[in-house]
Amino acid sequence: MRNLIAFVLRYQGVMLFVLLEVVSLFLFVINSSYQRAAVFNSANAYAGQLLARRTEVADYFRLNDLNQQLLAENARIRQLLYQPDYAHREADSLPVGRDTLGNLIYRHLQPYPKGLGPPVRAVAASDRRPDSLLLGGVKLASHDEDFPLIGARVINNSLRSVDNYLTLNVGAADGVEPGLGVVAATGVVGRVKSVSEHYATVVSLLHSKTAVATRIKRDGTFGSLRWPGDDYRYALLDYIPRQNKLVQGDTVITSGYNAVFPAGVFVGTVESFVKEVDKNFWTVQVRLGVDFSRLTYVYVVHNRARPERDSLETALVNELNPPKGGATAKPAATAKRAAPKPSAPAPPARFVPQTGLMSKAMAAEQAALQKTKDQVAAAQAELLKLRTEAAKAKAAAAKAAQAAAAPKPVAPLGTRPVETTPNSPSQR
Amino acid sequence: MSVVLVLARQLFRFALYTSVYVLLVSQLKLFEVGWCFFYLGFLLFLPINTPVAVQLLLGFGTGLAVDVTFDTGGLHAAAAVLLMYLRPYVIALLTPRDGYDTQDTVNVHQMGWQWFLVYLLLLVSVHHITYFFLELGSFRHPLLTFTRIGASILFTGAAMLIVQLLFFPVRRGRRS
Repeated sequence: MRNLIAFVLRYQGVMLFVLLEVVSLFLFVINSSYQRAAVFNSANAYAGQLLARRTEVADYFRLNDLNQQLLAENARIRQLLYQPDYAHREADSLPVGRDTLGNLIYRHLQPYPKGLGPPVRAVAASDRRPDSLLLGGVKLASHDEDFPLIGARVINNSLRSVDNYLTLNVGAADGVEPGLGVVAATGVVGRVKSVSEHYATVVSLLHSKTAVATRIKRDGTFGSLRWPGDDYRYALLDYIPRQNKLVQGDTVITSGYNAVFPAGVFVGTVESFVKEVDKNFWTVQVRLGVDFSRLTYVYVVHNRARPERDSLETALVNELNPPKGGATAKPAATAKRAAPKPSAPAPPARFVPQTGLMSKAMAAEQAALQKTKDQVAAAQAELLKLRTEAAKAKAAAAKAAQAAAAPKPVAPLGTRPVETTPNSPSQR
Repeated sequence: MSVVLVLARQLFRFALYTSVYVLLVSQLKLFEVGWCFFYLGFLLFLPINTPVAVQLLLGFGTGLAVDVTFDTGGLHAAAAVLLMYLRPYVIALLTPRDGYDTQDTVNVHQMGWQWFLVYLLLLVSVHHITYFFLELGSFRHPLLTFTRIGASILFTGAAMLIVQLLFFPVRRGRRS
């Protein structure tokens, strides 16, 4: 016993060092995951108040800058109040119908509106493209009553780390919840991570785990935006197929696929794009619209429709991917359902490239889903193989089917799941 | 100096260094890449004969306090604990020919420029390298990371030197 005490005393430095180092690394790793101990973040009351005081003092030195930002934003908001040019335009030469409330009827959505009768040239009715004059009249996202905005002040911000966070001066008392989107006047900012009574922390767009579902405004190509971790002014746009044409300066907006951000929020502009030999997709660099180094006022976007939409989409995925096929697929599928959901319902699997700001937990869940999908695909391939075997002569067909059928059905499912979904044409 | 007085003094130093860092210095940056870990001043200028266990606990506490403020989990704490673990070895490495006096403190006037600069750069470099690579979690962008490390060492080192020259007693043997 005395030896033991002597040993402990002799190596107390090393042992304490190892213990403390393990504790700190554990805290650091825990911190990276979506959910974490509520105590250790700047949303807790004391740190939040301290940072708020600091911001109050620092404000006096940046009043001019803040005024400029407010001025620009006020100008933009006032602009929205004015009637646009096309508000009362009568397109007499174009077949535009109005319903009984006086709203425009979009011909590409309803080919035969009431009161108008069948179009003059019936041939073109099916493939009629939307009238580009009318596209200007589409409701702006900020007007959409499903997306009320909560104005907030950024009281802490970082942009030099690999994983950056913001702290806002709004909290649960103002209606902020974890998982809501955060936008600024100039574009997408991030997603609320955790909330206390009067403060909220936000996972910035400048975070290694974030991905925003985006779309190129000009032709509607959708892709996923992520931040490589070096320069806070630029991000990368993934999953733009090589055959698509890109133009420098193309506008990138949110696609609204993940129900965090409303569709059509500005994200940035295409700065440069490179075709790489070994990739199926363009490497696109996007200049972000938000200047994170001067971010002051932001809005928390509340999507009223999100819970309903998420539950519907989850049900769809469960229906589309029943745990059929081999017995190997079953445990993974049941585990997926039994897994406790984080605060927000998990996004459906078919949105893999487009999921919003993805956390580690969500990514893991999606990886599990993808695995299940692959297993189902493998089982289907096996079925296919059996059928072909029956049809053709046994000896000759067996080898070829095994070689050809096994990898094929897996590839399209694994690489680009969006294209296999039934509703992808309507997204274009 | 009584124990209570020493404790009060160190507590005051801790509050001063961390609050100056959180409220003011954390906003500054050098060339857009480097920043100043001002709170290291508290840890680096602790008395030389502080017990190892106390040093480690202080490093952990300070790092955690900064972590809580900046939402970094245990990142600062991990780097600070390593720094405090290596500090006694660096001090032992730099022992003058006739050993340390009981009066000696980490003071540029008492220990000389050479001693102080080696001590400062060695420990600050270890801390920054640990911090930045831990933060990145990989060796993906070595050039950028080393630029950050270099600029931060420059910034932190200069700040520590300024603190020493401004606030530490010049005459040898007068401890305050």
